[in-house]
Amino acid sequence: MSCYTTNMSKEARVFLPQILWYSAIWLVVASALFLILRYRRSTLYSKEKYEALLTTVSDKRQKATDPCQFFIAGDPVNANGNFAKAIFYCDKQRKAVSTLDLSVLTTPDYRSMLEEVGRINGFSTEEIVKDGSWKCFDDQEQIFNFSDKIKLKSRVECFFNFTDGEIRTLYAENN
Amino acid sequence: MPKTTKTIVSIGTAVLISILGFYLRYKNHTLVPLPGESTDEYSYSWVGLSLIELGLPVSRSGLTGYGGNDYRYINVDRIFSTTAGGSPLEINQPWLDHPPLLSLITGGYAYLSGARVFEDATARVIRKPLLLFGVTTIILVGVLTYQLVGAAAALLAMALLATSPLVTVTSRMIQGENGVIAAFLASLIFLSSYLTKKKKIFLWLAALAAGVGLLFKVSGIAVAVCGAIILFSQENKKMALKFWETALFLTISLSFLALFFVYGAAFDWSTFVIVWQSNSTRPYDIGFGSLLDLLTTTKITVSKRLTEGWPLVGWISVFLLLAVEKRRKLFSFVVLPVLVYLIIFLLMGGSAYGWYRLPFIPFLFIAVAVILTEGVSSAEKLLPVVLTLIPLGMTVHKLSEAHRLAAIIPFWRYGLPAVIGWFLFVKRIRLNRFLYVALILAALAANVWLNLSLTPEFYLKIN
Repeated sequence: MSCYTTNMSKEARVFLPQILWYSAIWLVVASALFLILRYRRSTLYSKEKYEALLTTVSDKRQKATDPCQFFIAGDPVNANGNFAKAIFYCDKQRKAVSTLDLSVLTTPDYRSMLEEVGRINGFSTEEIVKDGSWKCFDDQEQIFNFSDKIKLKSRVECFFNFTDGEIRTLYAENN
Repeated sequence: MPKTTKTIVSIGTAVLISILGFYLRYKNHTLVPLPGESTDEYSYSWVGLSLIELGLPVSRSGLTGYGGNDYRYINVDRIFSTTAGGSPLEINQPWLDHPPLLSLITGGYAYLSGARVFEDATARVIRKPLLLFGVTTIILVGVLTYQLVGAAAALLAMALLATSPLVTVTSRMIQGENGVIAAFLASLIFLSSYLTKKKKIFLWLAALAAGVGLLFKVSGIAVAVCGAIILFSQENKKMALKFWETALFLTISLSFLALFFVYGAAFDWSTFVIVWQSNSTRPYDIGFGSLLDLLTTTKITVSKRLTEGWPLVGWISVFLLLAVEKRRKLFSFVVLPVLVYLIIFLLMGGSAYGWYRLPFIPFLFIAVAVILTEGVSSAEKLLPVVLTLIPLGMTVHKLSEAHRLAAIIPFWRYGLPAVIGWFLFVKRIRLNRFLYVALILAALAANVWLNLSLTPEFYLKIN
């Protein structure tokens, strides 16, 4: 050791101990960081908390007054055909079109699709899928069972306070 | 003017400039840039929020290295009705794209402000810490420029950074580069202090600041490289001393990069390595096209531009400083950082993204301030006058898109050659100095006016 130190330059005698001390402290800090991160992950993480973090609608976000107030603009360009359109007709004048990438759904049925569009845009889909005040169609065929599997590239159209005649007229005009 | 009075006036002016800089950054900060224009802003903050709540970094990435994405619509700020397009976000965990410091700052701030889910992390909340970063950067630019050349240039550099519309808009964005800038400037300030005062504490502080830069983004390696070159190329110093100073500096600064590796290993080492490889296989954009693009365009995001003349004049000023010999300190602390970051910028293939260019800006503006301030005392003012007219003209042009300025177009058309002709032929020193300073103040005033005009509607219109 004495031989080692006597061969060192003056600069090395000043700086080398500092570097070694710093490295030792760094090792302690890095080890502590590693262990703390591992411990926090093992105690805090759960699939439910992960889902809640991603999918809970913020209390601060303005709720939609009806399904036509907001919409998903643009198309999911990377969906490779795995998408569906949700079109809501809130009255004779107002409608909203949203296109949903179906890969976000765990259960690819009509209910899940409408609920996801409702969650994203901030409205409740309860009255659409349950109470009958809305009538929904997939490519002009009425949906009676919302648990049916949704077809790819579907046009799911939901009408509020429309008579069957008015819906037929609308489809005829659009065709 | 007595020295004390001069100091008080200078500090007072610096405080006023910082307040102005804060105000310009604060005004419309939740709306411009448009929320969702870069979803990276949310991405950074979500990492912080998920680290706090889940103990795991979760966020949007889409890099191929993750080997599959969890697609989600997270409609924060209603971005899916406005800017985000129709595709869901690619969520990855553990998210290891970048070191976590900026994430912890913005995500931590969001958490303290009551955010508990990703949708709570709105632009209104998460951009607030960046306003402080912006003002800190203004002050740091002032300190560094003061150390290098003096108070007048420092105040001008601060004023440019405080009022440049491009900078006020980009400094609101949650991008790692905004942190790298502050660390870069702080490290250089401490290094400059170390070189003049020889106190070792400054070497340590410089190295620690360089290390902090690496915790914002890996491109912060430029700070460590630049500092090492400055230390190793000192004149009139023993080689052994330079070697050990550089070794200490690099050990400390690079140890922070090593901490990022530890962070990656704690979550998933194999994902960390693959993501690192994905990041490094981005397009290698070292062609002349990317350099020309860098010199001639001023971007905010990938496609959104906010054309401004000051960065172009900054590049010209850097070249002018490069050409002047015997200005070693200016070379080391202004030109060298630009050159070192330019290499990192080109290697990282960052020319497509506006925020990759941010670390150039403080040094470009210091260079402009040096050249323009020298013009005040110089008898020959034509060059600095032309350098002032370029950004003034471009800013007035932008203003004319927001306001009805048709009436002043003839004044500009005939005034421009008249001003150049005046400074070419008329040699009245005091009058020319007055006119020149008035021109610089007019350019700064135009900056402020354009900032105040930048409503979301106008921001969408201009390019």
